[in-house]
Amino acid sequence: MRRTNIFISIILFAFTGYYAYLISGLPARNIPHTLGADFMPWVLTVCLLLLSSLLLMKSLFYKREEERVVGISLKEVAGILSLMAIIIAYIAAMIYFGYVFITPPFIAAMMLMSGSRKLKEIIIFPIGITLAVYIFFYRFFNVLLPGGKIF
Amino acid sequence: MSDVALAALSDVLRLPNLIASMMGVFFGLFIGASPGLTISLGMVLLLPLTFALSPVTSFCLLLGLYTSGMTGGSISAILLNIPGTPSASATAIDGHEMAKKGRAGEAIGTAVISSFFGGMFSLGCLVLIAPAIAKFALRFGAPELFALVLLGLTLICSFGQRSIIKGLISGVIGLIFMTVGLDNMMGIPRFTFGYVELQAGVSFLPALIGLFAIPQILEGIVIGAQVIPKYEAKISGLLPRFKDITQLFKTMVLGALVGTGIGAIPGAGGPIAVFLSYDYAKRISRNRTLFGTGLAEGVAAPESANNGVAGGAMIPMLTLGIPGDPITAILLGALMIQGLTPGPLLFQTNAQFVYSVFWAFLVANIMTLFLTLSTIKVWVRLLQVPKRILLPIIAILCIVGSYALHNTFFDTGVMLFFGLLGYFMRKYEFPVVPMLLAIILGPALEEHLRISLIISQGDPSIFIRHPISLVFIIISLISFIGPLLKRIRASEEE
Amino acid sequence: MIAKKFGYGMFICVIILSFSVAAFGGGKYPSKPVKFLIPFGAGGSADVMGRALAKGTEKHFGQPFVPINKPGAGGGIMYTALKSSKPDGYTVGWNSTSVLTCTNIGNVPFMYDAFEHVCRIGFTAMPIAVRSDAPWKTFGEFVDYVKKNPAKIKIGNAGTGSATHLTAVLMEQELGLKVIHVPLGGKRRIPSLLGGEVEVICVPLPEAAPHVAGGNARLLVMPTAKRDPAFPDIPTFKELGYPIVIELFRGLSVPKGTPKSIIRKLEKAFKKGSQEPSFTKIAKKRGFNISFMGRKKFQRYLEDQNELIARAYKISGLVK
Repeated sequence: MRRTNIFISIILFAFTGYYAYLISGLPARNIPHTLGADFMPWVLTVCLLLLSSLLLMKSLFYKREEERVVGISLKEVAGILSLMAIIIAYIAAMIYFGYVFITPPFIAAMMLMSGSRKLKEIIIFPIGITLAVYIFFYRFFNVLLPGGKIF
Repeated sequence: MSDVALAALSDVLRLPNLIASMMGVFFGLFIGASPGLTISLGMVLLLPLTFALSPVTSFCLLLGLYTSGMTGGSISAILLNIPGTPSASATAIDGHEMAKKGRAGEAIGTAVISSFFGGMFSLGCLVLIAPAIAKFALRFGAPELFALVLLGLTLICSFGQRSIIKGLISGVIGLIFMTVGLDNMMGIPRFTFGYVELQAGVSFLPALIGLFAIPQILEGIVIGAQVIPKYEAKISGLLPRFKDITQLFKTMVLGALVGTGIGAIPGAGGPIAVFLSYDYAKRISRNRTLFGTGLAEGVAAPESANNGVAGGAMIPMLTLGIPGDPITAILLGALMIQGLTPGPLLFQTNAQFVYSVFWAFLVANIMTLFLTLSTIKVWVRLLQVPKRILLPIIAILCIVGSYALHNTFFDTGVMLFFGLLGYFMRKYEFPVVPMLLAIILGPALEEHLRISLIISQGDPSIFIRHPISLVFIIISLISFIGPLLKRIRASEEE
Repeated sequence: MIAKKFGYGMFICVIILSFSVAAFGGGKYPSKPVKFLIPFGAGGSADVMGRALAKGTEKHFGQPFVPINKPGAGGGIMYTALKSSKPDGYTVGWNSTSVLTCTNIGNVPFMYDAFEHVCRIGFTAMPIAVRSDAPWKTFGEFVDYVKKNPAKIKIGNAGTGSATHLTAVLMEQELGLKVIHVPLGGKRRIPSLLGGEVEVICVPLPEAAPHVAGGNARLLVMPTAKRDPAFPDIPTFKELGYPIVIELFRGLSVPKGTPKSIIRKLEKAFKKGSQEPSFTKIAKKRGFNISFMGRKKFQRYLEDQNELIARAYKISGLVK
């Protein structure tokens, strides 16, 4: 835990630095008697700097903190990345092919990942869910679903 | 009871109006419960329908949707830890813990009954003392609102579970994200990297869905964790017992008071009310330390507050013609479409209509109560759906819902970003609730601060010279320093 | 067993559905619903009027319009989305003065001429309003007071660079006044006026009208070309001798490159839609003056207003 916290505070320092760099590039435009667009960001920068230093100091010097292991295993990261990749691929595909055609295979993929192994289930549910959402959103509430450039 | 009130009642009880009310309640429950469909969206979709309806019928429909939408939001918060509406996010804290312990039915029951109580309480205020409240609410200018938002933000300290430092970091990062976008005060874009989409800033609904729903999906699918509470078929304990409800009475009154009061202030907003109410319920409770572990009080407080907001927000709308929150803004639009001019004159020229609104709100609350209570079993049975099917459904609703909000995938991207962030925050023990509070309150904090200073011509003493703002600032200081001192004392005693 | 049957049923539905979707493509315009983009959030004036117009025009057009809110960047988000959509007539934008303000201030990297403008539907006045217990009975008295007390009076607007702000800036300039501009935003302007936080606001008429009727607020002056039919007693700037005519107009735009025949079809449909009783009724109740302008006339009107607004930005120092 301590070592992870030290690592996190270093990341936070980097983030703070980058944020400060962005603030300094803000265009200046003044309304008399009030704070500019960069006031609040600067306050937040100082707060974050202070807090991450506190976190760092606490992790370095406050040794009573129990040594629990927290964090994410490599396998987990791989799993998350692959799921995210599927989601992003789904969204990208929707831009071109629209909601109706792309959603069933996406749901099927997610069901496979979460341990569904029955073929019937993998065929029936994705189609059913896709249609239910389509009817509920589009036909019932007249909410536009992603249309797709090709269809 | 006056003749006008009775005439209004018999009008509201006409079959078409009751059907409209029922339809509104039915839609609202689904809209509220599905992440990605908001009450405002539902209202706007129904608005063109009301063009052709009589004023009373359209209000029966819209108020039904408003009331039950608020309740519906807490159902998904309790069962799945995904608040269906922003105002249900405080309910998720204890409600979902209850569900995890197999008390999902009781949690929903408590939520529904407290909602009903909050709604009734605020209706009472609306009928009896609306003009007085509205007059007081008008005294909330920029400095008062700044102080109120500040008070809301100090709650971050109370939600920093293990480490206050991490809670504060999470809050500050949330505030930093909210500085992205067009600065309305100066009209300049900030941190947009040249993307016009980013000028709208981080829409908080996708951020909210991301922070809560995506980690559930990731955890459930990737790790195979038991993210959905087990369904327990035991029917006993499905509904809260009468004795439990009476014990919650104090909490519900508190929630209703906070909700109605804050709801009546134009521009303050529902989420701040539910979190304040949750925090105060915790402070006055005997079971203080059990909050966050699945306590019925932790559900009752925010729930009575969020339906209190509904009635509270109608106070300035009806008496002054000023909406109390975004949803009443749409109601106000509906009123004007019907050719009715809200404001003090409405009570004189259209007294019967005003009474009809009161009755319609009453009917909507009663219908929501019965519809939800009678369907608790159905909702809880949702937990019976296997994870491998339920999680993909949630994922689809989140993705499609965040797209449908403004018809752009940009919001879906925002949702995924906050989803990943929320996942890593959970893993590294950064509490998520402070970030949520910051996202909801951040823009208002900055805006009111700067407007106050323009009004006072750069003199910061404006926050102390205004008595209401002074009181809030003092309370904020206490609630900021209190938890810190407690933490320090606790560590010394070790 | 039932689940199985249900599943097959669903499968057949999907196949039928996909054919019907495919059948949408091609053919005569309009052959499918048209997206109707609204530059502001749900429940506001732009939203309500836009939805009412979309509904009223449907039957003259032959296909439904699907209203979509795209708020943000003072309208810039919607205009950007409109600019990047296909110029096939299936996306129209419900424009407003914001097409001139958010472009001139530089929120978006293009100007109003990045679109084909179909027509203007009408406009809303943005009067100067005070509380009913304010000491000034006429605009003249107000001007005298401000001249004697420079930089004391606070005027609320919807945000720096918004149309209401520009109106106040033009007034300040033309009359030689000195005031404090308070960017209150849309939600807070009426409460701030009634609560006494600011003395004056510049506000779209529909928002002020109920409070005038309710006896809480008064109007001093109208920045429109002619007096408003609903408030025939309130003078205009022009009558008082100041050349300020700035209106919150609303109309329709399509992406550049949309075929002329489609634009003409839209123009015709919206002209009829703007006369539809369901729309005119709502417009009247909301203080929206229907005054249709065809494509060519609207183009010239836009040029004039654009010049005025660009000038106001220079004066206020927002744009160099």
